[in-house]
Amino acid sequence: MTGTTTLASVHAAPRVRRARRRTPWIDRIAYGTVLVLLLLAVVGPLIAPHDPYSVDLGQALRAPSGEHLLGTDGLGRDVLSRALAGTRASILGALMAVAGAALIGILVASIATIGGRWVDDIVMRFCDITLSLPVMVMALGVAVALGPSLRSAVIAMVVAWWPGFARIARAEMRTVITSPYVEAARVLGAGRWRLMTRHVLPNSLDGVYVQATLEIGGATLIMAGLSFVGAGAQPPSAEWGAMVETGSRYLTSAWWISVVPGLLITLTALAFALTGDSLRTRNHPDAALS
Amino acid sequence: MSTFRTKRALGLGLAALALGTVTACAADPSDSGAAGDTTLTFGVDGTVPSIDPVLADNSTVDQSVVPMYESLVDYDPDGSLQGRLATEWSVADDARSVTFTLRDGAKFHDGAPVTAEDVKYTLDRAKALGVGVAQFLSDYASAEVVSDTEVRINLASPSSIFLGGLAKVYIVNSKLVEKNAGSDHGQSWLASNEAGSGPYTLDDFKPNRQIIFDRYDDFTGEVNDAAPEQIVYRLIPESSTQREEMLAGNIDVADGIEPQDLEAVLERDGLTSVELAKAQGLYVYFNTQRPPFDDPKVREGIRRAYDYQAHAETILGGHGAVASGVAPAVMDCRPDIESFEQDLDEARALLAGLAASGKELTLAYQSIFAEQADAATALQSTLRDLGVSVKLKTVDYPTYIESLGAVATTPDMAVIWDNPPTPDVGSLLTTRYHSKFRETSTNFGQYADPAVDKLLDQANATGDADERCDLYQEVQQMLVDDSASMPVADEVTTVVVPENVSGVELYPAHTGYMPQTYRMED
Repeated sequence: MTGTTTLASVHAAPRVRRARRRTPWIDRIAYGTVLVLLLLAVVGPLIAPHDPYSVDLGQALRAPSGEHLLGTDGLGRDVLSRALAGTRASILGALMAVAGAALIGILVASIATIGGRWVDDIVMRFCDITLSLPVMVMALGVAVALGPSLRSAVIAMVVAWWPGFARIARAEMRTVITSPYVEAARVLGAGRWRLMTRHVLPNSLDGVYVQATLEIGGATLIMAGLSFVGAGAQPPSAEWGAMVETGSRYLTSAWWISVVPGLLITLTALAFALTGDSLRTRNHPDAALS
Repeated sequence: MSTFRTKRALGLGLAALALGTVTACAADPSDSGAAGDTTLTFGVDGTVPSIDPVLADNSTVDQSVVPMYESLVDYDPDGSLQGRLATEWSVADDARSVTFTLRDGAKFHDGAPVTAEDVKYTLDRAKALGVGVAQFLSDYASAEVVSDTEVRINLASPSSIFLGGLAKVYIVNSKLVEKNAGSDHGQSWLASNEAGSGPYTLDDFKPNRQIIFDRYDDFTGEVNDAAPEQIVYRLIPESSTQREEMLAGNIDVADGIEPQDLEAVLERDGLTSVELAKAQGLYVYFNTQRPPFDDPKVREGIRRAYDYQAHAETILGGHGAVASGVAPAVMDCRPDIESFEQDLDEARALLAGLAASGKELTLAYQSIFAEQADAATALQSTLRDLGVSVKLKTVDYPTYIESLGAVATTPDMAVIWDNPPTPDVGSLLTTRYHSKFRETSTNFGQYADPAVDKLLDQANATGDADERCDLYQEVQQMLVDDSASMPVADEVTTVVVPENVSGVELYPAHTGYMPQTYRMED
C-alpha cells in the first residue's frame, strides 16, 4: 500500500507544481535523450568495449557481429567504441562553442546596454553585419585560417555565433532596464555596474538560456559539418563528422561506418532542438499559442 | 577550395541517403562522351594551380602539360630513350657536351618554328628559376646555338643521368614567353597559358578545376590518327566522387578510383580497366638532420613497427605490393633486397629511448589521398602501442615541398607518394639522397652521407652502364642498411577507360596520363 501511495504522490506532485499544460511525450523523450547523451559524453570513452584508436588492419571492414556490435571501419577500428568516444568531442565541442558564444554575446550586450546610444549603435550594427553572413561559411573560413583542428572549429563557431546571442540578450536587457524596479534602484543611487550586475543581468538571461539549448543541436551539426569537410577534428580523432567522412568511401560496401555516427548526429541535433523548443514554450506559453 | 566543394556535394548526397530518398545525381548529358564524338574526359586527382612546364617534376602538373609540349627526348614504354623534338643527338668524347639536332619543320602553336634558341632559352630559364625540373639540370652549364636546328649543351661535369632528365624539360616558345616575361621569367603568364609545340593546344584552363585541350592539326611529330580530338581534364580529388562521375557518364577515364570503388565501376558495361605497375611508391621520409631521426637506430625502429603486409592487403586492397628497397620494383639496377617485415619486439627495443623521452613527433600526410591518410593513422596507432606519441598533420603537396626548403621546417616524418624523376634509377637516388640536394625540395629526408655522395658522383660520371648499375646497387643497399627512408609499398594504378580506347600504356618518365597516345576506335 505504501508503495502505491508513494508512486501516486510522485505522479501527482509534478502535475500540481507545473504549469497549466502537461509536458508532451515527445518533449519527455527529448529530455531523456539529452540526458543520456550528456551522460555518454562524460562516461562514453570509459565504457567503450574496444580502444577507439587502435588500428587492426586484419579486422578491417567487419560487418556488425558479436565481437564488434556495430562493425569495424576501414582500418579495423571498432565503430561502436569510436562512436562512444566521439560523443565527447562532438557534444562537448558543441556545448563549449555555444557556451563561449553565449558568454561573449552577453558581455557585448551588456556593454551596448550601459554604454549609451553611440556604443549601442556601433556594437549592434556590427552584430547585424556579422549576422548577415551564413554561420557555416563564416565558421569554415575562420577554421581553415586557424589551421584545421577541433579547437579551431570551436573557436570558429564562437566567432560566427556570438552576434545572435548578443542580439537576444540586448533585446531583453533593453526591456528590463526600463522597468520600474530598475528605475527605482537608479533613483536610490545605484551605479551602472551595480544596476547591471544586480538587477538587469539576472533578469534578462532567460531568453539566452533557451536560445543556447536550441542552438546546441545546430552547433553539433555545424561541428560535424566542419569536420566532414576537413576543417575540424583531424584523424585519428573519433569525431562524428570526421567518422562520416572516412566512412563515406565505403558507403556502398560498409554502410555502418558512416551511418552510425550519422544517426547519432541526427539524434543529437533533434533532441537538443526539441528540448530547446519545449523550454521556450514553457517560458513563454504565449509564443506557443501564436 | 575545390576539395571542400566536392566534399560538401558528397555531404548533400549523404543527407539524401539518410532520409531514404536516394536520388541519382543528374548527369549533364552535354558533357558525356556520346558515341561518335571523340572527346575524352579524364578525372584527375591532385591539384594543378599552375601549368608552367617548369613545374613538371610534379606528376600532376606533368600530365597536365604533356599533351601541349614536347621535350627533346623521352622514354618509350619499353624503357628506351627516343627522340621527340630532337631527331638525333651525339655525346662528345669527353662526355662534357651533347649536340641535338631538332626535327625539321617543328612548329609552335603560334606558327613559329622551334629553333635552337628556344632550347637554350628553356634550359636557361629553368636553371635561373631553380625550381621544379631545374633539379635535372644541376650539371647543366650552358647551351650554344650551332645553327637554327642544332644546339650544343655543355655540362659542368660529365653526367650519365643528364640525358634522361631532359625527358621532363619541355621546350617553350622563347619569343612568346619573352613577350610575356614580366619580371618573373614568364612564370605568372605560363601559369595559365601555353607556349608549346605538342600535339594539343590549350583551349581552357581553370586552376584546380578543369583543363581542355584541342588537337593541334599542324603537329609534325609522330602523329596518332586515332587520338581524341578534344581532351578534357576535370580535377576530382576523391575516389568516391570519381566513381560517381564515372557512373553518371560525366567522365570517361579515371585513374584515381580506389579498390573499394572499383568493383562498382567495372560492373558497368563498356568500361574496362588497365593495370599499370607504376614506378611509384609510398614512402615515409624522416627528417634525418634533426633528433631523434638523426639516429639510424630510431629510423630502423619505426621501419620495424609498421605492418607492410597488412598495408598491401587491406589499405591497397591487393592492388600493390610490399616495397623492397628504396627504388620501385619496376626499375632497373636494383639490388636483391628482401622486403621489410614488421617486428614489434625489435621495434620496441629500438624505440625504447624515444618512448622514454616522451617527445611528440609530427607526421605529415596529404589528407585528400586515402592511402596516405590510412597509412599515417595506422603508423600512429602502432607507434602509440610502443609508447611513441605522434601528431598527425595535414599538408597539401605545395606546402610540403616548400617546407623541405629548410631542415627546420621539414616535418619529423612524412607519408608521401614518390615517383622517380626519370626511369633512370640514378636520378631517383641522386635527387632524393645526394647531400647537394639538401634543402632544395627534392631530398625529402634531407639525407646526407659522404659515402653515398661519393658513390653517386662516381656512378653519374661514368659512361659504362654495368659499372653504373653496380654502383647504384651498392648505394641502394647502403641506404636500406642506414634506414635513410622507409619504403612502404609499390603502387599499381588502375586506369578505367571505355572499351573502345586502347593504347593506355606506361611511359616511364611520366607517371600520369599520356592522352595523346590513346587510340579511340569506333
